[in-house]
Amino acid sequence: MSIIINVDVMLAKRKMRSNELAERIGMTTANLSILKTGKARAIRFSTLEAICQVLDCQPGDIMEFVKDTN
Amino acid sequence: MKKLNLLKAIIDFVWIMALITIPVLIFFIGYLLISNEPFDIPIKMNGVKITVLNLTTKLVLLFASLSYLTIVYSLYFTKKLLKLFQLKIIFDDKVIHHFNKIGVLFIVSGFLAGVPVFIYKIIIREISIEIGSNPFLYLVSLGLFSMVLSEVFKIAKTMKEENELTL
Repeated sequence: MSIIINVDVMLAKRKMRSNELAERIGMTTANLSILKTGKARAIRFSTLEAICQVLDCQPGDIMEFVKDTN
Repeated sequence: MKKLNLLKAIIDFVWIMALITIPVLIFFIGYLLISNEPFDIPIKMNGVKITVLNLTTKLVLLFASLSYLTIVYSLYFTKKLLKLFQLKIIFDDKVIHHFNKIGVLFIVSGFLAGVPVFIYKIIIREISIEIGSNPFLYLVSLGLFSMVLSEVFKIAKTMKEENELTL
């Protein structure tokens, strides 16, 4: 997929653990893992808003568009 | 899920009955195909009465029996499908496959029963227009409906997956 999720990078910058983020945004760690590994098909605005609020960042900080080489 | 249990019970009953009749049918049709003696009991099939046993009527009987066996085979898949529904496995590849298979079997059965009888009617010059119940059209329609259901379940499965992967 050409949308890359950089939640891991932001988590490292904020020195926060995955399960803490999952707990604070009200998501299961399994679902957060799906998001981090890029298996998710879509993300709700409410989820994006919660992540941005907790990590104090912009949507562009946690996801980026990379052109498909194929 | 009372309706599902009732339907499963009916299908199981019909399945058991079909299993009992299959050996009898095979023996009877086998005997009719091999023997050249005149058969006294008239056989009625899809509105056509067969009284004389010759090669044509034997072939029609054979195709009708094959059609019946195909229906029984589709019954087997219906049984499996209902079992999956009972286990709450609904939007699954197996369900899609079973629906498609049932549809194909119904259509095959419809053709196996309808086409030879139609040809037989032409041979004996007994062509008539039938308005109302026609097993050929019913079977083909049911088969196509089952195949459409298979497509619908395929779409539903994709939608379910998308919904589950929307965070």
